[in-house]
Amino acid sequence: MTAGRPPLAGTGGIARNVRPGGMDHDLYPFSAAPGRAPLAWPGGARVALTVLLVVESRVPDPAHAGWRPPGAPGWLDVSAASLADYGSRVGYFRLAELLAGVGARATVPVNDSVVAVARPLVAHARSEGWELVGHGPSADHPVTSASTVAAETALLTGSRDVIRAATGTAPRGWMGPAMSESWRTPAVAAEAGYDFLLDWGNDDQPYRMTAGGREIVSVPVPVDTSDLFVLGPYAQTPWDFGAALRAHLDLLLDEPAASCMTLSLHAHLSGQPYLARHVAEFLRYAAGRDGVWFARASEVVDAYRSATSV
Amino acid sequence: MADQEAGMDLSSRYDYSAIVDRPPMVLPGGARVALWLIFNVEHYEYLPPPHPLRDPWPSRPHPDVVNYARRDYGNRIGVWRMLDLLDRYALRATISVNSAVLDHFPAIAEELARRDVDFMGHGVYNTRYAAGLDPDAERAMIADVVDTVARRTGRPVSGWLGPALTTTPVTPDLVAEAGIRYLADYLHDDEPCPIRVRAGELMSVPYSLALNDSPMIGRMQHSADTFARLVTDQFEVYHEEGRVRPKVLALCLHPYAVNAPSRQRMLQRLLEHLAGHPDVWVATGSEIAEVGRVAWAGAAQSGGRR
Repeated sequence: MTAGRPPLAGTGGIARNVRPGGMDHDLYPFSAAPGRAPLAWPGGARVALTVLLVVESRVPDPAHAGWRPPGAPGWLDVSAASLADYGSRVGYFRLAELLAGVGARATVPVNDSVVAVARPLVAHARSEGWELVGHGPSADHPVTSASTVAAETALLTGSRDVIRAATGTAPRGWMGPAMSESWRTPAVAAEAGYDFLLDWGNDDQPYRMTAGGREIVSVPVPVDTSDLFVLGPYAQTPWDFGAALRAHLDLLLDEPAASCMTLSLHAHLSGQPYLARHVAEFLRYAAGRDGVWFARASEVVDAYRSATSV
Repeated sequence: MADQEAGMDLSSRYDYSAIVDRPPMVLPGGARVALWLIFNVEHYEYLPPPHPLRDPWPSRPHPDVVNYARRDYGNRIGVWRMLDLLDRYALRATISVNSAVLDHFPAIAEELARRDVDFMGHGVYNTRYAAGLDPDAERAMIADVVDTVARRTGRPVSGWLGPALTTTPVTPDLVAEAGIRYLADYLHDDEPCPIRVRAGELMSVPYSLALNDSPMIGRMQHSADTFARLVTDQFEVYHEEGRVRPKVLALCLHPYAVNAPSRQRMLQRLLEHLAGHPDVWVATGSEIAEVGRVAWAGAAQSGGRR
């Protein structure tokens, strides 16, 4: 038998199949929660709570968009495009007021076209010390394995350059448009100078990825704490989402290990009044609990690195 | 070029404007919330003509009797419960109408014409889409709706909402050309805003897909209580914000859904609460568009940013 490659059933030979151990990709090793080196946050905090305030743009004409899921409209859709604009016009400012109320600074994944057009929004983020995150041209231009390395690199460096031009600082973080990635994205992102990713919701703590010989930290954003996944289809009620967020935070505070909780709020969705009030309730609840550290994503990354440096 | 622009984004139709940078709207009587009640009076065809882009009845082979009947309930029963509520609480509302209803069911046309409502054209049938129409065909469709409403009710068409929310790149231009004053297709704001058109004027009045019984109840099967709570949550936020900046609460309803037996009392209580509230201005889309138009014109004149 050749090393590392057991024969498949039916090809003659060994009757039992054996899969190789570890992950089915090279980005990070398996890491079981028990037995990890303890993590500590500044000031003895137990949960680093990051609020992502995601501001999108959408493309009305599917002929001008990238990959779309099966069942997406094949006709001009001004509803979705105009609803995304609600985020940058109205929703962002409603959520900004809520966040100011609890003294929390947001992390802002924002599509390129919004950075270009919504100058008051960018000015607000800068003056509040909020952090922008690269997020591609629009939510309708996902990164996929079908693009070339050059095209994908242009997408990531494009967002980096747009944000740097608008704020004077390159973004440290990348979140794929609609959290999309190709199998090369971690390497492309690291090469483009990003030092953290927000696309992988597979943990309650940050962890390191290695890609293209470089390191990039993954700050997990689970489906459960994303308004778009939970509420976008209008399937769950806002008050149930609010209760779920409180239960999520309570559990993490209860467990012995320090952890992070990253809330993904889309300006056009959580910024709607009927939703914003439940988000506000959760934020007030979190602000009232001991051990919660409202942190921007890059603060979490820096604290993670310093707590786990070898 | 216009097509290209319309394809990539909507910047050809409206400029970016941060709501916090505008002077607030002023509502009659110092009201804090403009309540826009929209009732969609629709006709979905039993055997609609096929469409190249979209199947009008995607769940089953045609005829989709279950869903056809569900919608038909609205015209047989639901709309009469709707009229009772309009009368009971003396409500001014917008009727978003598929004009075919008025020809198929003249009794409905007569009853609507007798109420203090404005008419928002919503295409001819909800199974016939604007998507894919060339400008001449769309112009003819809009004219058909305007003519039918005039003929059956004696009233003008003041607003427009795309049939099944479908539009073309030139819909705003054709709507303005037909003398229609407001468009509900854009969901981009809490306030009425101007739309750029080739000729004439057009205001956007914000519609809602969330405070809307068709996705929430019709598709997602949320309960009446859930729907009521969504609306009251929205209202409480607008009411609080309305101390400083009044906004529009659009309640987007369909008689086949919200006027069903298990939901009628919920709607009655909701309307009693909202429409009876001292800080609420119950208004038609035309009235809201006009207040918005004045606010934007005033800001432009005084040099205020909008």
